[in-house]
Amino acid sequence: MSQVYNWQLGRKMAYPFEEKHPDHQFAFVFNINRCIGCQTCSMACKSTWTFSKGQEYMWWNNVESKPYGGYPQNWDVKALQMLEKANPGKQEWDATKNGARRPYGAYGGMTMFEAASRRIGPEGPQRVLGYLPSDEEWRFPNTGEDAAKGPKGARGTYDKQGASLPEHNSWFFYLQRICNHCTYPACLAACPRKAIYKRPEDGIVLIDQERCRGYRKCVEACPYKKPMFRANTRTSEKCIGCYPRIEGKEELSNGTPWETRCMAACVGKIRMQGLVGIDKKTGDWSNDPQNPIYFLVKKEKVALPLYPQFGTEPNGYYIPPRWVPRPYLHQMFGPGVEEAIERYTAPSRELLAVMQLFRAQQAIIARFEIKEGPKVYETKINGKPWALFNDTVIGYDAKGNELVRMTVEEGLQKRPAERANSI
Amino acid sequence: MFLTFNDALCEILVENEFQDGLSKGDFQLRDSFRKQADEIYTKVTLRKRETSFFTLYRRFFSKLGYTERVKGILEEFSGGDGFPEECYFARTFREDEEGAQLSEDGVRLGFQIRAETLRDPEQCAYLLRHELTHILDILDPAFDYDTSRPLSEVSPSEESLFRDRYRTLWDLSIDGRLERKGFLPQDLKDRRASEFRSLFLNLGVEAAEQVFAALWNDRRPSSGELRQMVTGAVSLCAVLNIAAEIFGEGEFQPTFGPGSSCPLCQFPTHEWAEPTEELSRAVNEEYPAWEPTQGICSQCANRYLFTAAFSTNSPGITRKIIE
Repeated sequence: MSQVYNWQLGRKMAYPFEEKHPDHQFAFVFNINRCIGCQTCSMACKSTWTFSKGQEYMWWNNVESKPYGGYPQNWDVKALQMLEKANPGKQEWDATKNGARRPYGAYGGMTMFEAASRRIGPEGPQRVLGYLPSDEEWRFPNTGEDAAKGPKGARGTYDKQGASLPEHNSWFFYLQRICNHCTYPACLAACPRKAIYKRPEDGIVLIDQERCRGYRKCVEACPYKKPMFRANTRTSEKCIGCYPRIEGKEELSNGTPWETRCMAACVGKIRMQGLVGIDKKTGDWSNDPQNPIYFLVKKEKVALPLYPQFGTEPNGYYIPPRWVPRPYLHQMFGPGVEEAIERYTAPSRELLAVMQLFRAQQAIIARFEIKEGPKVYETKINGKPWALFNDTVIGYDAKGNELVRMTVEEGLQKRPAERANSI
Repeated sequence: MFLTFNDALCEILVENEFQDGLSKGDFQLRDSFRKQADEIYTKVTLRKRETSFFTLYRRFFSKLGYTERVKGILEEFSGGDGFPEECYFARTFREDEEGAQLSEDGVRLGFQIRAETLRDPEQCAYLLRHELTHILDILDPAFDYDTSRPLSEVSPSEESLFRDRYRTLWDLSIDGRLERKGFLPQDLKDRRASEFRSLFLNLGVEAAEQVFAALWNDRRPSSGELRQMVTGAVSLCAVLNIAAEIFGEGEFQPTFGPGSSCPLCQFPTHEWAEPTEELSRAVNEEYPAWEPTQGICSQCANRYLFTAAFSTNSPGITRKIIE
């Protein structure tokens, strides 16, 4: 296996192929704190891409309630258990070893690629540690929906003092999931047919339907279980990152790259998607603090990767839910949870402005600019003074055209006094 | 007999066989499948791909002996007058959904079966023999199977209790017959005995064992007899001709075990009420068939006494009893 650099782990790791990077990378940020679990994103995706015969159980976008929900059922618990079994007691982070290229410290445990060598099957060692979910596990995408975690060992009860920040004793949250279009995709690594590839222009991971022979190795390998088998074509399919929209081929877009369907449909305004530049020398993101995705992930570090310990370097990032017990979040998002929540709870002036851009319109925002406004409110958050400024944030597309202009305070429409009640 | 298997059932069983082979280092079967599958990908149109795969899986399914396994059992039962000529096997995921059903015209037989059951020769043989015995009973005019009449004329909850009892009594009669033929898997008799006890808890442990043994070893009861048996322990023993043996000369004294179900509300209870005359009158207003020997939980007792106290139809019951 080759050695490739994974910045989320702060170290090199084993991967079946040589390190190679696209010009840009498809990436997104989901703000878990805002999601109401309405599944509009799931339906937007389904009605666009997976409404045909053989795709009945296929949800490229799904929203599951954690801790009990999962599609397929228990996908993350199973993956974590497999890792733990392969490397018992050593799946740990050293958060003290941080720096520019290791923002969350260094991961000392094994990734799905590294642990694969410890699980030798009849066909030799697996390329990626994984399992194939059963039909039953795919059957109910909403299992555990809205089921809250109560006191340990007490089934069906909730803590009497359940709700008081910083951590609730009874809790659940919605986890929004699409393909992470990983930098080191496990599906791609496992495919014996070389049917899976990463697009050099935007890093979107696709399955070549002509080459696929339905061996389901991608389904087995992806720790996030996002490739899915389609029974009637006997091939695997997965989220395609709505690439025609990313390419600006959406009919109404006049050639401007648009966000994916699931992002555009989000009524809770929890989603932002974009493309980040890649430094070909380091494989890391090009320094671009005015790109909103870069700003949220790299500069403000308010959004964290999902299960970075799997080692695929996922390109989906999450603003962690602030009411959830920290050990659970540490396991899910790695170190950096405390800082991310702290920054989100008392946002900087810049962060608050950028948060207004979430779902402000359909086109991909490549760059933002902030025009300072007056101070409108003062308070204390966690004992520290905090002020709200009515700044204006302006979003631009990749060509520098202005796309949107938002103020931190919501705009007010005044109707003429004589028609105040009319609509 | 014409057999059809659900395509998903064939597929999962064949795929499981591949995995079994692989785990033993045997790639032959899987590779042979892949070779033929490759031809479908390259030579067959996308529209016909699914059908071609179904055919391929069915071929492997038969090659692996699944069709013969089922056919062998079915042949033990077919041949008689009116036995269906077509049989369809559908896939189910739950054990309690497994079973057989006859089409209304009696021509087709449908099975619901889990892949795990079909994979295990012993489990599969038992399920098929058990279900086919049900079918033979249904087809036998002497059994007089009739679903047009409800089991209870009184209430849905009683219907539900009687239905459970009917199912269990019929099941254990069938399993008794299978045991005598040497076709019963181990431990199943104990499971049936425990099911029986849970539905006739007021018999008490010793009496329940005696009644179970009588039923297990008895001739096949008819549907009419089963209908009588489900109404209570007394009728059950009467039909089996063991009433004197079980109850002696005196009146039946039921045992209401802790945690057994109240015959009226169906909830398990640890508090049985003392069946007084007033209570009997109150319950009988809504459930004429209920007898004190069937037992009643204290919550139901309170509820019927309360209702009766305010009912104009019960002049004999005064408000005093709820004070």
